[in-house]
Amino acid sequence: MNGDTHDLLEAYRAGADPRETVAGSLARLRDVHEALNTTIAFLDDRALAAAEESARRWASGTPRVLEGVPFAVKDVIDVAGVPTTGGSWVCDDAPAARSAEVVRRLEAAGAIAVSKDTTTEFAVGGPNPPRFGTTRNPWDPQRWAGGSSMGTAAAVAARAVPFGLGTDVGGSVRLPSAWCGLTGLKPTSGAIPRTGVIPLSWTAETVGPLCRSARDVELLFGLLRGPDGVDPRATALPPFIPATGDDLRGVRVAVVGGYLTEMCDGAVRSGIDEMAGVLADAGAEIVDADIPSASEVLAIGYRIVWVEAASVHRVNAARWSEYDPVLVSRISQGIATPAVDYLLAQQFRVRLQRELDEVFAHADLVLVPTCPSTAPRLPEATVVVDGEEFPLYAAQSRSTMLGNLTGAPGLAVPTGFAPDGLPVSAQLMAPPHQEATALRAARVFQERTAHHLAVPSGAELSDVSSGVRGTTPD
Amino acid sequence: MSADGRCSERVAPADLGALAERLGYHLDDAQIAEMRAAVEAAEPAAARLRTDPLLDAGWPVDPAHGDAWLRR
Repeated sequence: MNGDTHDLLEAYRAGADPRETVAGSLARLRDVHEALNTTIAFLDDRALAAAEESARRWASGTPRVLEGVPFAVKDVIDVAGVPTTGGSWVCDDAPAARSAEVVRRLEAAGAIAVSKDTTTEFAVGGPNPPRFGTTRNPWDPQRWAGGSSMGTAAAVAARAVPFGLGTDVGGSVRLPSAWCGLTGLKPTSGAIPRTGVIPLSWTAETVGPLCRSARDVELLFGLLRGPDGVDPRATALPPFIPATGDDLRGVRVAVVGGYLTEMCDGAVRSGIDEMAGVLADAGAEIVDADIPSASEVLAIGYRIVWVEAASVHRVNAARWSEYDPVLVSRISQGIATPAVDYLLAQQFRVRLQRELDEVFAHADLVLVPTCPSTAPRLPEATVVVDGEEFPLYAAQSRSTMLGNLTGAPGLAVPTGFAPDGLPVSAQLMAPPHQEATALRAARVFQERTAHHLAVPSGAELSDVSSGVRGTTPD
Repeated sequence: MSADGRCSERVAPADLGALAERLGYHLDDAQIAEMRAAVEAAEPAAARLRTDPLLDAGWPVDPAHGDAWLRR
C-alpha cells in the first residue's frame, strides 16, 4: 500500500479485491504498531464486514467514491461501537453510540475505518501519554511521530493505511504530517463539522485529513466539508471547486519572514526556498510579506486554548490526578486566566485577521514553515534547530497557531529531507474557504517533485532498540 | 499591578489553590506549583496584550467579530 488513495481506487478499478486490501491493511497495522505503538484498537470485525460490502459493490459496478479505502481514526473521534478513549485513563471505555459526522461521511462514501489511533492525552497532553505511551516515527524510531495526531500520522506514513483523520488545535494535524512526510490539512474553522469529536477548544479546534498527497486531501476535503446541522460553528459554506490545470499562472504566493522564520532550521528554510522556486517555475508570482503581530500568536493562541480546555475538562475536575501531568500543567493555566484577559485574547484575533487581510490583499497564499525542525527526539521530545536544542513547546507551534487563532486554513506539504534523514515541511495558508488555492499549489508542486512519494524503509521500522511504554491493545 | 500593566508580584500558590478550589478544580500541591510556573511564564505576553493600542475607535470587543471573518 505504497500509493495514495487515488492509486488504490485505480487498483480497484483494475480488479483488486477490497477484502484483501483491508485484511492486508490490518496486518500491516499490527506490524507497524509492534514497532511504533500506533494503535489503540484494531477494528477487524466492522472493517472486514465493510470490505465484503465493498467487494460486492465493485463486482456489481456500483462503487461509491471511496469504496473499500481503509483509513485510520485518531482516538478522540467517535467510531460507532468502539470506545473513544482520548488516550486517557479517565474515559469509561463505553462504546460510542454513533460515529462522528466525519467518520459517518467517509463511511457513507465507502471508506472503511480500520483503527483507533494513539494521541497525546485528550489531544493536548505531553509526548509520553501515561495510558498508551508514545508513538515512534517511521522515519526514525528514536524520534516522535508528533502530536497530537501521532498514531494516525505514523500509520499513514508507514503505509498501513492511505489516509487518516486527525484533529488540530495548535498544529496537531500539520505537525505530525510534517514530521512524518505527509500532506495534512487544517481546514478553515467551521468547514468540517466536529460533531462526535472530544472537544478541547472551540475557538481553535478543527478536524482534518492526513494523507500522502495533495490530490487525496482535495478529494477528502470535498467529502468532509459542509454543515451537519449540529455543530454550531459548521455553517453554510461557499462552493468548493478544485482547481484544474498544471500551472500556477495568476497565483501570488507571499513568503513571510520575521518571527515565523527566524527560529527555523536550515533544512526547513531550504525546503521553503525550493517550494517557492518550484511554484515560481510553475508560473506563480512570489512576493514578500510581513505579519507584524506574529510573535504574539503562540502565547495568545494558547491562552485561549487553555481557558477553553480548562472549561471543557472541568467535568473531570476531581480526576486531574489521573491525567498526564503535562496536560495538567498546560490547561491549568486556564483556571487562573482572568476573563478580561481571555476576551482581550479573543479581540487580538481580529487584529491578527486584519493583518492577514493586508497580506491577502496582495497575495493568494502565504508560504511559511510548518514547524522549525525535523521530528523531536525521544523521550523528552526536544527539537534541534541549526544544532541548538529547544524544548518542544518553545518550537513546535510557532507557525501553525496562526491558522488556529485566525481560523484560516493551512496545508502542510513535504518539501524534502534534512541531513538527519527526517522529512521537512512547508505550510501553505489561504484566506478562509480558499483551500482550493492551497491544494492547487500543493498539487502542482507534487506533480513536479517526489518528496511526498518517499517511503520509510522496513529496516527502520524494525530498528527499535527500546520498547515503548503503555498498554498494548488486544 | 504596576503602572505599565504588568503584574509586579508573584502569584502565591495558596491563592491559586484557593481560586482553583473555588472554581471546582481539585489540584494537589505539585499541580498548583506547575500551574503557578505556567501562569508566571505566560504573564509577559498577557501584559503586552493588556497594553495593546485600541483597534478602530475601540476594540471590536465582541468575539463574534473574529468568528464573522470566517463567514465573509
